[in-house]
Amino acid sequence: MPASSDSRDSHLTGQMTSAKIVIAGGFGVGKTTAVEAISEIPAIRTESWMTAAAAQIDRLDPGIDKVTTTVAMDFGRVTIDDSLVLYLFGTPGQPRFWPMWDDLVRGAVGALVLVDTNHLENSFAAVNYFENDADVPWIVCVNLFHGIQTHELSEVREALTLPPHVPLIAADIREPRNVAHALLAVVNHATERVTAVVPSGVG
Amino acid sequence: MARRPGLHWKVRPYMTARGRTSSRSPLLMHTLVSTGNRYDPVLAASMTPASRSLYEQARRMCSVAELSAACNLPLGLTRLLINDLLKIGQLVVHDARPSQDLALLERLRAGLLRLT
Repeated sequence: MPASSDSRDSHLTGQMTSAKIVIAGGFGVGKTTAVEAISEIPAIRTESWMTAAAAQIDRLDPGIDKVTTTVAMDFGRVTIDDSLVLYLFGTPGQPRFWPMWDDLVRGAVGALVLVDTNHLENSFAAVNYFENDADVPWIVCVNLFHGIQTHELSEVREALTLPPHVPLIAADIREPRNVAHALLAVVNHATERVTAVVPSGVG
Repeated sequence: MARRPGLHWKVRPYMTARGRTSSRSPLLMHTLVSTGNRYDPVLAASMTPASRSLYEQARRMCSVAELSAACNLPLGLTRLLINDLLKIGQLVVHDARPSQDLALLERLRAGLLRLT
C-alpha cells in the first residue's frame, strides 16, 4: 500500500515543539496588523462560542434562552527553526471576553501589549489585565503609526501607570523586522524573569 | 421513541459533544497534534463529520487553533473532539515544552534575531 504521497519528513513525529506569544491591546491598535506583518501564513481566524454569563452558569438549560456570542481571534505562525513553531495570537478586543483571554494566555511565553498614544484609553483594560489578572511576562509597545513618535516613552509610562519592571518600547508594527524586535523584547523579558532568582515568599 | 434529528452545522456544540461541556486536560491553543503518520480511512469513515474532518486535517501536524479554524469548529468543541481522538490513540500530542523553559526561550531568541 503506497504511503501517502512523497512525505519524507519522518522527523515530524515527536520532536516538534510550539510556543505562543499573545498580542494584546485595545480595539484598532494594530494587533492583527502585527500578526500579519510577521506571520508566514495569512492570519487565520478562529472562533469560540461564549455565553453571556458563562462564569455563573454551570449547566446550559435549554429552557433558558441565553445569548451565545461568537468571539473571533486572529493568529499567525512563524517557523523559528526546523522543530519549533511560534504562534502569535491577537486577543479579541472587547473587555467582556476576559475568559477568552485567560484561555489565550495559558501557556504563553509572554505578551506584547500594543498601545496607540492617541487612544491610550483603548489599551487600559489590557494593561490592567496583565498587571492584575495574568501571570505571564508582558511588555508594552507603543505602535508608531506612520513611524511617528508623538509622545515621550516616559510620558506614556506615566499615563499608563506602568510599573517600572514592565519594559516599554516603541515600534512601527507594520514592518516585519520591527515586529520581530518587539517579540524579541518579550522573549528577553521572559528570560530575565526565569533567570532572576526570586526568593519565594516575597511579595 | 422519538428519533433525534441528525447533526447539522447549526447544532450547538454541547449536542455534538454529547452533553459534555468541559474536558479533563485542556489542550492549549498552540498545542501541536497530528495523526502521528498513521491514517485509517475505514476508521475515518465511521466518525461523525466533525471528528472526521479533524482527523483528516491532522494528517498534517498542526495546532489546536489551526484545526479549529480549518475545520470551522469552535475552539471548545475542537478540544473535546481532539481529546476523544487522543483517548482512542488516533491523535498524538507533540512535545509541549513549558513556556518558561530556558532552552526554548534561547531558541526563540535565535530565531527571532534572524528576522530582525
